[in-house]
Amino acid sequence: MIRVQHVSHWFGPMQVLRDVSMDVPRGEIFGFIGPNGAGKTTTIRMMATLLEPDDGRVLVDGIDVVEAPSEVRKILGFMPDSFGVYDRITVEEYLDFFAAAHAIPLSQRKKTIDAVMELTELGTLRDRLVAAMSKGMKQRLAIARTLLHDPKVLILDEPANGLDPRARIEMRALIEELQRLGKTIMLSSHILTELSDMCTSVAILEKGKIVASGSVDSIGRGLTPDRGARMRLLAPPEGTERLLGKAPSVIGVERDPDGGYRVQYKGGDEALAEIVTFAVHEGLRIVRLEPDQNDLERIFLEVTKGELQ
Amino acid sequence: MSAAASPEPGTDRPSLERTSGAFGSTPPGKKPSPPSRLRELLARPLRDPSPILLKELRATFRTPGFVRFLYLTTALLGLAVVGGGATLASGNEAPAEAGRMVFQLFFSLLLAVICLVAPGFAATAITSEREAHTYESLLLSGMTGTRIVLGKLAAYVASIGLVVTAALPIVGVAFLFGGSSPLAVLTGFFWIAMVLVVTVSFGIAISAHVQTTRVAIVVSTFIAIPVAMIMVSMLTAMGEGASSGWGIEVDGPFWFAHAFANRSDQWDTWAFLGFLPLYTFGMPTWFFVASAVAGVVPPSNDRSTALKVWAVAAAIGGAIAVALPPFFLTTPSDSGESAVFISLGAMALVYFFGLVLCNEPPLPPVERSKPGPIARLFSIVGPGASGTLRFTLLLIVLTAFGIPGLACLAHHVAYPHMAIGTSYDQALLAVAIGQSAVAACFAALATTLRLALRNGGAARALSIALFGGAIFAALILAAALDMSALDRLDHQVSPLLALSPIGPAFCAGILSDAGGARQSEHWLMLLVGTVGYGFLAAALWIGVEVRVAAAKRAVAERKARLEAKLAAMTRPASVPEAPSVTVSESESQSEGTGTRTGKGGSDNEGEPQP
Repeated sequence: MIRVQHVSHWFGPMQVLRDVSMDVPRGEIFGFIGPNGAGKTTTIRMMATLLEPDDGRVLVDGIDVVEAPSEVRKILGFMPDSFGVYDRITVEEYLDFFAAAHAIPLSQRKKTIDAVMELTELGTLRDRLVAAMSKGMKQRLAIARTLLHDPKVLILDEPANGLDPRARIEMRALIEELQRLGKTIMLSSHILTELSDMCTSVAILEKGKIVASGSVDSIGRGLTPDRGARMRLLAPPEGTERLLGKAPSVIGVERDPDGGYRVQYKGGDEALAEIVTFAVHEGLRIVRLEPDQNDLERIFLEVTKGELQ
Repeated sequence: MSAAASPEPGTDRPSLERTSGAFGSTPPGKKPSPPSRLRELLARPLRDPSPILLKELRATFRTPGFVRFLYLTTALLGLAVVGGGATLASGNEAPAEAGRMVFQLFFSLLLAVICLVAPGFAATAITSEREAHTYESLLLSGMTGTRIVLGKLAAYVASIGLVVTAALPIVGVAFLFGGSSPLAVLTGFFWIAMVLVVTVSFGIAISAHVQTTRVAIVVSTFIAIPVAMIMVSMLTAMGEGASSGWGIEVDGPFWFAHAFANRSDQWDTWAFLGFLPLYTFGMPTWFFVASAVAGVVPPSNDRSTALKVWAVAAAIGGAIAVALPPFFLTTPSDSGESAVFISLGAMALVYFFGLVLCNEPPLPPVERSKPGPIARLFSIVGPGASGTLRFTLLLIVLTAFGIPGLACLAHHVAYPHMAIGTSYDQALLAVAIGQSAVAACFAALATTLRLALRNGGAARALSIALFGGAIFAALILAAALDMSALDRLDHQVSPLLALSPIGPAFCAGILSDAGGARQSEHWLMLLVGTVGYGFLAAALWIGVEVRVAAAKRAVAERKARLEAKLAAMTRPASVPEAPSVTVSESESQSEGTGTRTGKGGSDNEGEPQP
């Protein structure tokens, strides 16, 4: 749905993006991660037609953002990281303003606003002044605004920034709901645990370069082809380490300081199931098995070096 | 969480088409006929006004400070006018005279309020959006720059218009004394409305080009106040002229309101108090709006065409305005002299064109579609540095010849017995030839500097400094070489001064004197200067063309390189079924060795990088 092809960009003498290429598949929730100053917002602004790349090309649904920005804007909703709202108007007036700006016909405007308010659960705040809303509600209002023209693609830059835990959970539910409605959603966030739960694929940017992209699991596998699991046994007999080492696919076993065993193996879940079958067959009594997670935080720390550009 | 569109049977995810319906896309229908389309076009602003206008009015009227300002202004105006009226009533003034003075007091105070408040208030129009981080949402909403600026203009005019309307009953104090007619009051308010529109558009233009509200308010107020004072002085001076020409009484800066009411059946009243003010207020308003639109749209968009249309209209209007005076002056010599000197004054316009139109990036906006033959023809003078410079040079030459030409024609039409080829005709020809070359050189220099510095403001400032410096240096040098050179300027111009940028103006002044000596010598110096400036302009123009051609080649190379990269990719350019996985091993590759000549980003305008 979004294709970034060999994009480079400079701010004065400083190169902020270096030959960045990535694809955001249709209908996915795509996470865009990177340390501060990596070039995430610059890339996102290019996708949103607010900045043109010095080199390379960005396509949204096959449309070049440089050649036809107005066409791209029709199918794209963008919520910047530091968005603003008009304080002295009500929620309904705010949405009506943007609906009129998007040239939604007068006859359909109310129906559209009602649908968007229902989706974002703002219906009860219809007549409330925007100034009197909480930050979480303002975030919802900003998302509601991006939905008015029914875009195919939503780009949300730090949508959960500054929200309390409840508002974050609600925001996540809203984003997942939007995905179910068929939207392609690209979001950048610093809260990696949330992204790993929500995103179907991610791209990691550092110093203006994509250092990893794909699904979280596939990136994790790409980083470390060997997998590991922690196993706790009830009254393990002598020689358990050696015994487990004979299990199929196992390449190493270590004793943990807490009494458990750390098993390194090649392969996926099937290999792990075979190890468990082997252990049970050998009379080992397994009380807990924890396969290592390819969690985003670990991947992020592994692929990025924490350098600033 | 409720869904706006339910999933299709048998699938987990609803189709986009169904969500589109839920959010109100336009259903296909019959195309309306042209008359009904016209009716719709006229009725729409009332039925569905500009969203910007509605939003701004709602926000303004819900601001307690604005309501307090409204009450305070009305109360203070009322107190001042009633107090002034009471003082006059207790004096020895005749009632009608006192009434006219109250009238002048009221409108002068109203004018002062507008000039003090309107530019600063309107200067928040765009900067407040930038500072509140709502500007990008506004741009992405699909609204054009023109729609945004006109909406803001209407909203701010309406807001301050409310202050004017609230003050309207106060003018009734003048009617208590007599001496003022309702038509005079209407004329006064018409002028106030024009001043309001021009000051608000000025504030919005400043707001569109400045980053912060504080700077915008300071700049707009500090420019507007002296300009307003100069305009009031000019109005009063014009009143003195009208007093002798029309035999009317001038009792203050709003003398024209009574003059218009008393002489509304005369066509020259309509020409000077109708056409001229409309031009004087209309052209700046148009310019400020076009300038604000250029400041609002992204740099990669076409920002020059609206300004070019304005420039053509300004040139035509200027030529018509310059052609008027010969019909009102009583002697051929007065007519000839005014034609020469007003033409010389009007030449400020061609320098202004050079300044306004120099701020173009090297490349025009990317072609959205294949242009037709007419569009291709216009693209020769279209957006981009080279096209705009061609347009500017053409317009400068046409205006520099058109304005003196029309003034000359008007002079001969007004005085048919005057022979062709008199000193005035020669002086007007000198104005046309000399000023076209100097102004063309100025425009080409400003564009060259703009391309070199990549900064329109700096290029403008430097161009003015270079030309101003050249004039100043010539004056100083001429005086240093010959102490009496400046004293003799009314009948002889030294070669050094004649070759300076102000030389054509001095030569034209001397050539307009029928009895002046050394006419051929001044013609020679004028022609030498013209050829010199002409060659310099041509050289700078060629330099701009060469630079733009290089930028175009670089972009073509960049495109070819990108296509080659894409062709070399193993995966075809189609939406992948599953996300691709790439993990870079090191940072040794792709250090961005491209030519870097992208078109128009909002930060560096995509110009060739250093």
